[in-house]
Amino acid sequence: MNKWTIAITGKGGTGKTALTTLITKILRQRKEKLLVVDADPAMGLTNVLGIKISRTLEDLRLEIIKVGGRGIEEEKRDLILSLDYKIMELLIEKPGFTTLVMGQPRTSGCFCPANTLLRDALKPLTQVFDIILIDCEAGLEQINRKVVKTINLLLIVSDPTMRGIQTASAIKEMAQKFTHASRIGLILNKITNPSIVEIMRSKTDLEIVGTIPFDPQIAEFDLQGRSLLQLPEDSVSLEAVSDILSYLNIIQ
Amino acid sequence: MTDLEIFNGVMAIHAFIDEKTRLKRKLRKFICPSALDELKKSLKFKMGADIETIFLLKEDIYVELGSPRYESVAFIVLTQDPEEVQNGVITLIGPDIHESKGKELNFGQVILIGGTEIEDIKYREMERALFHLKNLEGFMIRAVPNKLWCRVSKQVGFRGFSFEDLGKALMIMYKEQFPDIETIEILFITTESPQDFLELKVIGTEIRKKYIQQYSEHLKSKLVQITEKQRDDCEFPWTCDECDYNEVCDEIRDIVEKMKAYREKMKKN
Repeated sequence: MNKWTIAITGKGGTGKTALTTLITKILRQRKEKLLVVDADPAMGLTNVLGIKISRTLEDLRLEIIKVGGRGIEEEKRDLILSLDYKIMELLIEKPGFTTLVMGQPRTSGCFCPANTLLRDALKPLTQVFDIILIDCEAGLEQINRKVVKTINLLLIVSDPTMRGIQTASAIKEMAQKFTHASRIGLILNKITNPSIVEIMRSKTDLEIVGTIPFDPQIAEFDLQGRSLLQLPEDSVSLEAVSDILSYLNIIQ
Repeated sequence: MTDLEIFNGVMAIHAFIDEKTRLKRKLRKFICPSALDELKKSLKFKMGADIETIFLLKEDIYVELGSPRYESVAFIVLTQDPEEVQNGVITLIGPDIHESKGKELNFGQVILIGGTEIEDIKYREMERALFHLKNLEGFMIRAVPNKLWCRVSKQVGFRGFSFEDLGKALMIMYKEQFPDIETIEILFITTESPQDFLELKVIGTEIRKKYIQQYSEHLKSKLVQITEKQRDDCEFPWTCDECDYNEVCDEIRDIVEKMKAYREKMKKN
């Protein structure tokens, strides 16, 4: 049974993917089983994690839709029998964590029964994990439709600007429509001046659960094309993320 | 003449085993009891409805068999001459599970089934039964036609889980599900040689030839080019009743229902 289903969201460029990677880096060293879901259509997370994608959930969804389109009984039966194999093929298992990539939606119709099929098929698998960590685009509806129904922690990432936290509030409202997150927290990223945090706190109704300082090392890793999983243990952002996880009781 | 008599699969598999023996491949034979109750008694691991279907992650496994990165082939061979099949014999070519801790192995599995009453029409049904070995302790199976991908848990691996055990479990499952089976023999192969797998795939394809032909003709006659129906402007402003893809969704809904029924059936078995 999952103890945590955590979705990381926020507007583009705020550092959702970097944060997801840093959380992965911390959690992979622990005994809990971790599933990391890349739900961003741009699929940036796998890149930062240093993982090569072969097949995405969307590829499988298309396959289901094609079988549905042909409507041949034999083929449908084969699909039913093979679905578990095909789901397992999507998993990228690395030491300490497993990755699932959603991929970019490529159909014009909604084909919601295909989503139901996938969600049902993913259920026994997702239950194996203690923690599911999801890197989302601002909208959460994709993840909700295809992977998990309930999220117990929604973390919205923002830069320390007025525009940033206004967007964060908008995301919160949107998210509440699609999921039933029991807790929503705001993380302020790329802080250069700590005094700004207090100003931001007075300007938002979101609970600020943590802050992460601006870390030039992250930009440097990005330039060199290195995986953030290789970030040194004493990195300032890694320490900040570790503090956030402790504050949220995800780690002790 | 029945479909399967066109090509004698049993003879082909036996010839394959003889050839590998001649090539001095590491080859072992296990002889299992033929009576079902004795077979069950001899199985060292738990099997049955009370064993939950498990999902095994890489970090929890002792051995992985036939993953998509490796060779994998699986099929069954039917004969109406039970004498052709060496009843209760499991042949293993290549390393066994318990001696391959932490490894990934190529995996081939061929089940030879004999019974005077067994009709060709049972082929598909019996082939599909392979997908169903889901309640054997510490054993996870994922299948697509002709391929198996299996994981053995550390828990049973350290207790010595071997192909003898897997073979027995398969024999039990088949005998219980198909009472017409008179004789059953299993070949497992885990060698590193791609040639071995190629040879087996050729035999498997030959056996399934007629069936595949029928199937692809069936496919062609019913093929609907779904891509032609796709539009670019869809933001789903309509209800399902108005949607062009309604039929497709109905088909998928049917798959969802059948999947549920299938899972229910698996739980009961």
